[in-house]
Amino acid sequence: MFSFMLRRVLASIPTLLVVYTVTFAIAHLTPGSPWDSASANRPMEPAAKAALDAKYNLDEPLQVQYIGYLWGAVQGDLGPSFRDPSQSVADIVKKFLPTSLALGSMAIALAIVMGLLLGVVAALTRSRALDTAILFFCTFCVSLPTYIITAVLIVTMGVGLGLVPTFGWKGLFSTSAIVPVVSLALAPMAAIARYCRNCVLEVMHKDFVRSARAKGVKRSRIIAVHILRNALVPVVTVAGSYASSVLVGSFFVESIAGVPGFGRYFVLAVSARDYPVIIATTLVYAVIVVLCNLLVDIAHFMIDPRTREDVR
Amino acid sequence: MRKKVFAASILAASLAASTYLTPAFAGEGETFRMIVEEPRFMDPNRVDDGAIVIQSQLFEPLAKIRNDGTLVYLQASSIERSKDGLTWTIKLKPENKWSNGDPVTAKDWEYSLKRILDPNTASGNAQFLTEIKGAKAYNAGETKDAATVQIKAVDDHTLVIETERVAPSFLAKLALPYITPVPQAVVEKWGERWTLPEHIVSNGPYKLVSRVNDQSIEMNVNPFYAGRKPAIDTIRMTVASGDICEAQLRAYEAEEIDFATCIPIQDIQRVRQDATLAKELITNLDSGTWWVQYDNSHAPWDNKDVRQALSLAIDRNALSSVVSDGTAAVAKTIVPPGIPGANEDDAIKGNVDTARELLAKAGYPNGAGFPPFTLTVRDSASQPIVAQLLQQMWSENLGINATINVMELKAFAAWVNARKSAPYDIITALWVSDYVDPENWYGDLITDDYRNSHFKNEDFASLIKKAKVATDETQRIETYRQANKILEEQQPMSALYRETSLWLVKPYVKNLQPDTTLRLYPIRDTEIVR
Repeated sequence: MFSFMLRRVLASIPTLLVVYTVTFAIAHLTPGSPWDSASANRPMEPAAKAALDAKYNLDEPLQVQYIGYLWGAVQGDLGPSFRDPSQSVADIVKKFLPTSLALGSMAIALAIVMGLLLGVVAALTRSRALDTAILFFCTFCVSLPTYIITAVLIVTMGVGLGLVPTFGWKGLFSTSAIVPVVSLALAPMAAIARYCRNCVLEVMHKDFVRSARAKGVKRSRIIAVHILRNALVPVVTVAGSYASSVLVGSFFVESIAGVPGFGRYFVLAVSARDYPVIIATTLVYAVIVVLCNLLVDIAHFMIDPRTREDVR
Repeated sequence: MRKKVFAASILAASLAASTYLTPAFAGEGETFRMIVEEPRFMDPNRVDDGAIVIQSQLFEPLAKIRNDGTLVYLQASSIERSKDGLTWTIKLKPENKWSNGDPVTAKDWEYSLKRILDPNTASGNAQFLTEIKGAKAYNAGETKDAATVQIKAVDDHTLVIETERVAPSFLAKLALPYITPVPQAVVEKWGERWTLPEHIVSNGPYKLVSRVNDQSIEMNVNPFYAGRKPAIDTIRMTVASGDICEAQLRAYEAEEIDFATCIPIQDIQRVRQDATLAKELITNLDSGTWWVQYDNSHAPWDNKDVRQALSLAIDRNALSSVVSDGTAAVAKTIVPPGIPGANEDDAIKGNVDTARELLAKAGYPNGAGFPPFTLTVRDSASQPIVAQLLQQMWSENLGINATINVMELKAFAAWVNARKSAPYDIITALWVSDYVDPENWYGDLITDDYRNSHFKNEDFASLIKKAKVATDETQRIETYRQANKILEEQQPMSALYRETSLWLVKPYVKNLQPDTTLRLYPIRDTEIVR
């Protein structure tokens, strides 16, 4: 197991290097410099622009900047933020990532619990009204873009009923978290429910389930131990892929609901051409994707004994 | 027993939740709540955009010019110009203090003005101070010696500034909210991090008490502020990104904020028809203009008849109706009314038929032979829709075809800046008055050509040159009036419309007075009367 994990971690290094290279190139090739103001009346004086370029090493050739930033990043120095010189990129990651991680974890936990529940119920009531209703609800949730869900929830629950604030963030355990958590959870919940339903239906007719039934094992035990455990493998894969995108924050949900998260900051950094923040946030995103994939593999390893053979 | 434990747990959980849910800002007295965009800079010497609404509550300039043109002293007790018009003596009020209790000295002012001019500060506000002797060379990096800039603190409360030439508009620039002092000792001690809430000190009516990036900004009354004490104790700003108008309207309707600075276009009609909201709606015409601008340096745009034809073919009422539900004012001239020299009677006269005649006179009857051209706009402020309407109007009225190129904001800004030497066809652009002086329009915008219109007209240039150094005010304004006539007749750019700020203000908020020049609102003068 350890050697498997070590291999996976080492294999992720080239992936991260490719992500760094592509992000670096795209950031620097995008038209507009960090110093062009979109809202100021006047363009910046050339001398001031030159001074800023020199201060942040943007006057160096691109290959020197590429290696310089990489060397700094390897040593843990992600550089200063161009957009807000009073803080470093490391400060920004520390400030904004935890909010998105907390929000995303809550959303994915809600999605898994509700998704499994709906999936099992749908499978057990196959072709009946409840199954149809659940399937319809899941299709509805998957089809609707999150920004529409967020806006509708805010208008109904915030402006209409006054149950939640329309904007702003007061922490994960406050009413301000309800709309973003629900908005982020609906799509993965629906996907998990659909996968879970299909898998449960497939496993229900396997021989070992029939044997368990014949042996007189309790229905609840058959569902929990025999069916659900086997149905979990694809569900974990789906949940893992959704987790990586939900955990780093959604720009739409965070912007509309006013959550100071990583997703929103990333897009603001792109608009501001804040190169160090763009590169660092993309790398953090890549690391989270790699970690989520690793966790999915570990979960497979634990759930499905058959995979242990492959790992060895 | 179980029941008791359960009840105690519920009570404990409720207490914990209520503690957690108590708003983080627990100020005493009245609180003013609003939504702002994340400021690019918290350093007042570097703020040169809309974020000035935040810094102008914290930092105070020497004086301000009211909407009616009168001067009100703030940090200064007097500003006098020498007889030769070259030396400005500024007396500071001795009672001025920073929010940590230290006195605000003329040394702080000297340090701050030179800091704005220092190319390493890269401040967009340097351009307001370049008339000071030695400032241009220092700002351009030609000399590194700040002592060559003629700004001197002669004692603790007297600042003397020498200008390179007679500069009648210099007072208006000195009174700008962008020109404020920073505390030398604090800036030098903390460097870039001096603007963090734990370090920053300010000289204005409020002091910063907390700032969470992209989340909130909170200010309390500065206890050491020597001016009239504000009636509102706390200003709580929630920071929004994306569609800030959308966020503001939702929060305003849910009673979460007391003041909204804009309304999404799709909601304007609903707000006007709503019995309550309509009463709380305040409209202020901005001192700014949106226009279409031609690259005057090459054909066919170097032909005045072509420019006039395109201008006369535009239905400005239709534009206003689409971009603002009719709340924007039709702009007949580039320079807005209220700026001395401006006169809407100078606008070119005619209609679509005149436009066709002019185009035919230029050699393109019914648009025949007119080269295909590109209309480049930014992807904001309804400009893509404006571009489509212009394309349609020019095609239907003149028979000429434009291709639309929409660019992301920063890319557009960089692209326009790069048009200094590269040719283009047409763009749409905006200028908002920085100060109420004709030089800000005729000088900064058109002669200094910040938008790269490449407009060259000797008569216009010589009039502006004359007006810039005119000491007689009547003669100066008259010169600008003559320049305005040339500008409108030549049409290097064609005015489209002027935006109207749409505010929603709760009825218990009193005296929230707009400053039309920079769309500012000093909360110091505002009261909450419930």
